[in-house]
Parts: sequence; structure tokens; C-alpha cells
Amino acid sequence: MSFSITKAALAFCLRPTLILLLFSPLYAAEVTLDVQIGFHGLFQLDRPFPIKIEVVNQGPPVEGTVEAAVWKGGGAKGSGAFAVYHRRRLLVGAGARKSASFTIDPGSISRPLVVSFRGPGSSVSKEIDLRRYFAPAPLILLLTESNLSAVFPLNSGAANPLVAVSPEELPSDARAYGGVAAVVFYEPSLRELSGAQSGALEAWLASGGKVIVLGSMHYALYQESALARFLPVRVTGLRNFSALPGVQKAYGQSAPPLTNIPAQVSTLVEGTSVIEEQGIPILAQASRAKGKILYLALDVGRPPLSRWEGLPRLFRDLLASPGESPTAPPPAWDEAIFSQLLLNPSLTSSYVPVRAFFAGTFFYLTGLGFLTWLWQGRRLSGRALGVSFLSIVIFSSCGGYLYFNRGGNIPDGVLLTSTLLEPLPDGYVEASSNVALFSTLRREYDLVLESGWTDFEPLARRAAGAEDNGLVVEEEGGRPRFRTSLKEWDYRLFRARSVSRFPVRVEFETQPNKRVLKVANQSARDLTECWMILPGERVSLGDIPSGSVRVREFPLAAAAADGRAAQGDLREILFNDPMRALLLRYSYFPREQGRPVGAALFFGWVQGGPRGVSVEDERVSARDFTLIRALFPLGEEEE
Amino acid sequence: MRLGPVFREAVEIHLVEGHGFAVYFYLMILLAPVVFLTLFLPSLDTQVWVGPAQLFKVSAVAAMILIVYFSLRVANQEFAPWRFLPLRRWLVERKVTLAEMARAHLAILSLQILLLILLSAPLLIWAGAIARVRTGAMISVFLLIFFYALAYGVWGLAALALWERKSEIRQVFVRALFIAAMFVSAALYLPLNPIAFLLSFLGEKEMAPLVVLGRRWPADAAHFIFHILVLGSGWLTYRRALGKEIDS
Repeated sequence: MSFSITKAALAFCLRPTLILLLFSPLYAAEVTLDVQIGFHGLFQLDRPFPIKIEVVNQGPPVEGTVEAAVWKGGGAKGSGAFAVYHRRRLLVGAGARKSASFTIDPGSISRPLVVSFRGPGSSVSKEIDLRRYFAPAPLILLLTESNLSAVFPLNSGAANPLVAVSPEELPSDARAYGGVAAVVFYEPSLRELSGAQSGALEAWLASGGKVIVLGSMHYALYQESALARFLPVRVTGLRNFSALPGVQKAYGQSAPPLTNIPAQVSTLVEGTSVIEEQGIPILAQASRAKGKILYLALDVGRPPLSRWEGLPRLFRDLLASPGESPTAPPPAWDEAIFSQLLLNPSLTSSYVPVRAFFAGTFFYLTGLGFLTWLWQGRRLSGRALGVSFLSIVIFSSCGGYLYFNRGGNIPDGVLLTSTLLEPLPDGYVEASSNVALFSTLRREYDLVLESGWTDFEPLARRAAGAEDNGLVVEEEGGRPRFRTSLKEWDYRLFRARSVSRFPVRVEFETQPNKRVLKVANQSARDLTECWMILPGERVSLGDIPSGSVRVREFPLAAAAADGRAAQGDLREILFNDPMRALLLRYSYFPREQGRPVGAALFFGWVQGGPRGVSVEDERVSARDFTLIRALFPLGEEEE
Repeated sequence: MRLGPVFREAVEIHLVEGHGFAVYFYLMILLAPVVFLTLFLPSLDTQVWVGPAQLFKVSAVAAMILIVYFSLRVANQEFAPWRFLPLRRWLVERKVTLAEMARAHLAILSLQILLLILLSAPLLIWAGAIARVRTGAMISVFLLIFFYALAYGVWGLAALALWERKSEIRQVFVRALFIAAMFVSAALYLPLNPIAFLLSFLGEKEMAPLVVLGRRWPADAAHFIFHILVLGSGWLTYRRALGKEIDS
């Protein structure tokens, strides 16, 4: 019997290959992806938006990673483009479907969004052209379970697209509301709203969002606690009004008069009544940090109001975008500033073992000197000298290597966060956090974004390639983790933002012959090294402990007299920690922004202030700096 | 292998009598501050970290320059020259063969280079550990320093054999050679320069290839071929000069 090795080998290899080729496409085809972009296929250009990837599995159970890849930076932004990968692990049962929601923020829509699912034995990917989905203006979300909403002239004459969504479609991430102008509630039931969804909505509202609540005949819905907390009023019932002269006068002077109109009866809880009828708020408004809530007691979905000619004008007024509130410039943050901080001895000593190195060098040289002395005094034989010399060299080398490489106090990385708090009304603050992660060795880091923080964004590095700039976002368990890899002695900068409660109230009043500053620290944190800067005057206020109130008067005459002696220059202020002075000079009040002229400035350092980003790794040392500042414009005559 | 009386004489002068200790003292007194100040002083530029990130690079380059320089001077018998017997006396009166003489000189040069490397090893290893340099890269750097010191140090032996009785010429020659090798070579073709090569090796950066008559040579190959030629030509010059000494 003849036997060919070549034929046998071919038969051995070809059969499994053919089987694999035949069956693998079938197996892979069992998983398909269904992607929903934005809110019902719409998002605002250049703003973050939600996507929902549904994995449909028609085969056996499969576990894999859902990924959405977008590109940021590059082109006109003057930095290298880099990819951001949003990932989540999913276990999809047999014949089941499961979805993963992400908030993505592509730098441009010219590159497609790439979504994929990869698991053992299955790999599916899909490219989506985002140019089919964008809108140039922010969206208006209508949250309702009523079918009467179709008659609303909500976006009449406006460029803002109106999208009706159900409560379960609301995102769980405040960043996803980035391209939303307003959320309108009409007969919604928020009972099914999850804590994350509710928190995201509140966070977005506090950071400048707008919620419009339209009343309804089903007033009981508005008494639910989930909805009631968004209302400036407490709804108690329903009443028919024979006429609404206030509404008529404001929005329908040329329209037929409104008669026999049902309206919700309520009492004002916060904010102000814009229109009242018989002491009942018809249109009320309230602010929530930087956000705004409008409440209309009327049912606009049913006659007679739904057919009223003044309704489009009323909606235009409700949806009008609020004017930009004046805010102080955000703290500067770039590589030049970070390098100034990094090279400061107080920070350097936290990651460079200068003292240990000096001590090691000193003892090594002393040891060599001692050997030389022994040798010259003929106290050692040649062999003993050789052995001693080699022992010193080997012991020093190995001991030092182990100490500096494995032990010692050199951390794997240093996380530096510098946060600036700007007080807002109602005990809120707007926090802008600058983050730097510095690595002493090549490894990956997981940055955790605390809840309530939004707009987390890496600053693209000009000197790095696309692969070095890449960022992986893992959204497991509600808290997004941003994974980045750094080379040894490399660093990366990020920014984050939040609006949260921090009850420190700073009031400043100018009276005929004096100025009065009142700082009420009702927060759980102490304020340290506080200063008041006035034109020609710089006053140290010391520490303001938690729960205390500090009132300080500044006579106008004294300020004028001392004006030449004590200039209000921030650069001359010294702090216990030199890092604070550097941050003040380069980040919070950079040279190009200059010293606040014609304004009074209060600032103080917050002990253990809110931190947006953390790294859960004991090999990463953290340094936090939080400054609260309040600017008060002075009258022209005082400048 | 017997290294003979020439090697023993050099060991006696350098190590037993302690005339070579000056070299070790100079090396340490120059290298230690360079390494420490590199770690301690802030960077001059935002993008280039001269601090801990560059600690091993700066330390290795400083050690290489110092070790090559002192190897040249040791080979040239610049330390306690009056204590050494003239070459002619060894070769003619003591009947030491040319091969024995060459072997002994090469051995003492290698021993001195090894001692200089051993002395600087702890500082370089600490610098490498702080800068998170791979162990393989550190070992490679030590081997490179030995190779450079040998390649250039052989020219110290050649200068000794060529102009034994003209110490000023020898001293000028070894210093000129050192400056040309360490600094001027960079102007001709950067990869020939040991400092540039060491930095590119540690920075894991590719150097421009050498193009000669349309043919491209990888920078690494050009660098090592050049230095092997330096070593070989130095050794040949030294052997020929010793031969002339016997003939005359």
C-alpha cells in the first residue's frame, strides 16, 4: 500500500479548515446589531448624544464586548486625532436581545461611528454614517404618555426639532443631554424613572438645562413625588377659570378671549409667579443652580386651549433660550501649566526619591573612601580589598535597584486634580476640575468619574500618536471608567465639570462708606487661607471652619489711603503649599486673563473639596487642590 | 593565561601603590554630582524631561564620556608615568615578546575599564531603576560603554607606542582623538557618534541610515562597523609601533 505524506497532511489540514469556513459565517451571523442614534435618530451637531446598541442573539448564549468607537481631535483642532472606545460586557442568552447605552461625543461626523460585538466565536461590526442623523440646533424632548401631544405647536417657527420620548427612553447619563435645549413634561408618569435617570436629569438641569412642565386635567400625576420635585409649586387640585386676563394680555391680545378654562390649582413652593389668577400661579418659574424650571398650570393638549391662537406665542416664550449668565473664565489647563506644577519641588518630592538617592550616593562614596583609607594605611590585604570593593559595589547596586525599582516611595503614578468652585444660587456651585495623571512607568490606569460629573474630556496631546491618545470608556455599574495607557514618565490631561450642592454663601455689599463681605460656610468642609482682593487692597481672612459665618467690613476711606501701598496683585500672595501659588498664578488667574479689574474677589481653599475623578489604586498617589472663588463687579465709580 | 611582568607592573603602580586611585576619584567626583543634579534640578523644557525620565540617559552618557576619557589617559600612562619601565627596555633588555607586551597592555586596559564601570555601576543602576529602564537595556549600556572605552582606549596604547618619549604629543593626541570621537563625529554623520547612538538606543528611536554610493546601510551597522574599524586600526597601529621599537 502506498502512502503519501503530502496528501495525508493536506487531508489532515484541509478538512477542519473547510468545516471551520463553512460553519463560522453561520455562527457569526447569529448575532446582529441594532443601533439607535440619539433621540429617535436625531442629535445636535458637536454635542454629546446617546446611542443604544441592541445585540440580538438568535443562537446559543454568548458573552462578549459591545463597543462603539468614535474619533476625536485632529484637523482644525490642532491636535492629533485619537479614538475613544466605549465598551461594555454583555451576556446575551439564547434567542434573546440585550442592549447597551453609551454617551458618545465624536469630534466630527465625517468619520463613521463603528459599533461592534466581539465574543468567543462571534464578531459583528457595523459602520454608521452619522451625517444622516444630525440637527444643527438643540433638540426639545417632549416627555409624555399622552397621545394629545401631537397637536402641540411646540416648535412652531423654531429650528429646534421636537422629539417625543417615553420615560424609559430618558438617558441615565447627564452628558447625553448635551444637545437638548429643553425637556417638556406633559402628563408624564415618572414612577418608572430609575434613580440614575432621575439623577442625570437633575444634574443636567442644574448645569444649565431647562424643564417646562405643562399642566393637565390629570393633576394627580403632578402630585407624584418623582415629578413634584421638579415643580416650583405644589399641585392640590383642578379649577375652571371663566377667564384668564393675565394670559390673554401676555400672549393673546389679538386672539379670541379664553373662557371656561380648566387649570391646576397649586401653591408656590419656590421661585416666582409670572402670571397669577386669583392668587393661583398660572405660570411660575424657578431656578435650579444654572437651570430653569417653568410651570404652566393650563392643559394645552385639550380644548379650549389647544385651539387657542395665542398658544404658539406662549410656547415661543416658554422655549426661548435664556440669556447666557455671565460666568468667570474657566481655569486654564495645558501642558505648559502642568509642567510648571510637575517640576515644583513640593510635587517632585512625592514621586522622585531625591533624599534616598542622595543618602545612597553619600554612603556609597563614603564606603569607597573608607576602603581607600584602609588600603593606604596597609590595614587590608589585596584580597580583602578586592572582596570588600566587590561587596560594596554588588550590595549597593542590588540593594539600590530593589529599593528604587520595587520599594521606596516612588508611586506608579500621580493624580493631580485642581478644582475651581464658582458659587451659584441656591447653595450650588459650578465645579471645573482639571485633572492630570502622571505615570512613572508604562502601564494602564482606570480613572473613575464620580457621579454628577460631566463633560469629562481628555486634552489631546500634540506630541503623541493616535494609538497613544486612545481612550477606552468602560461603562459598568453606572460609574464610567476611563482607561488610558501611559508610557514611563508620561502624562495626560483631562477636564471635567459638575454642578452640585456645596452650601457656601458669599455675599458682598457696598454701602455708602464701607464694603461688607459675608461668608457663610454651611458645607462640611473647612475653608483655609481665604483672601479678599479689592482694588488697592488685599486682605487675608484666614480660615473659615465648617458651620461658621465670617463678616468683614472694609472701610472705603482706608482702601483709598492704602491703595498705593498694597496692590491687589495675586502673584504676591504666598501660601503654605507653594503648589497653591502656582495654581493660582498659572491656572485660576492666568497671566493672559490678568488680575480681575474693577471687581472684588473672594477666594479660599477647600479642605478635601469635591473631586470629580479618582484612581482606585494604592500605587497612585493623589494630590487635590480645590479653590472656591466669587467675583463681585464693582460700580464704575469704584474702579 | 600568564600575563607576565608588564601586567604586574601596571597593577603594582595603579592598584598597590594607589597611583590609579586618582582616576577613580575623578570619575566619582564628576559622575555623582551629574547624576544627582539631573535628578534634582528641574527641566528646562516642557516636552523634554531632563529630570527623572532622562536620569539614566544623562547618567549613562556622562559615565561613557568619563570612562572613555580616563581609559585613554590610563592606556597612555598619564598617571605616574615615571614609574613605568620604558617599552624598549621591556622588549629589548627584559626580552618580553611583542605578543606578551600587547596582551599585558590589553589586559590592564580591560581591567581598568572594568573597574571604572564597576565603580559607576551603582549610580547607573539606581538611575536606571528610578527612570524605569529595562534591565536588558541597562546591561546593553554597560557593554556599550566597555566597547567604546576599549575601542578608543586602544588608541591610547597606540599613542604610547608611537611617541613614548614625547609625552606632550601623546597627551595632545589622545585629547584630540577624544574630542573628535565624542563631539566632532556628530557633525560628519550622527550615528557614528557614541553619545547620539547611546541616546537613540535608550530612546528607542531609529537613526537615519548611511547612504554611500546609492547603497543604504542601517545606522546600527554603520556605527558598529565604524567602531570595530577604530578598534582594529588602533590595535594594528599599536602593534606596528611596538614592532618598530624592537627593530630600532
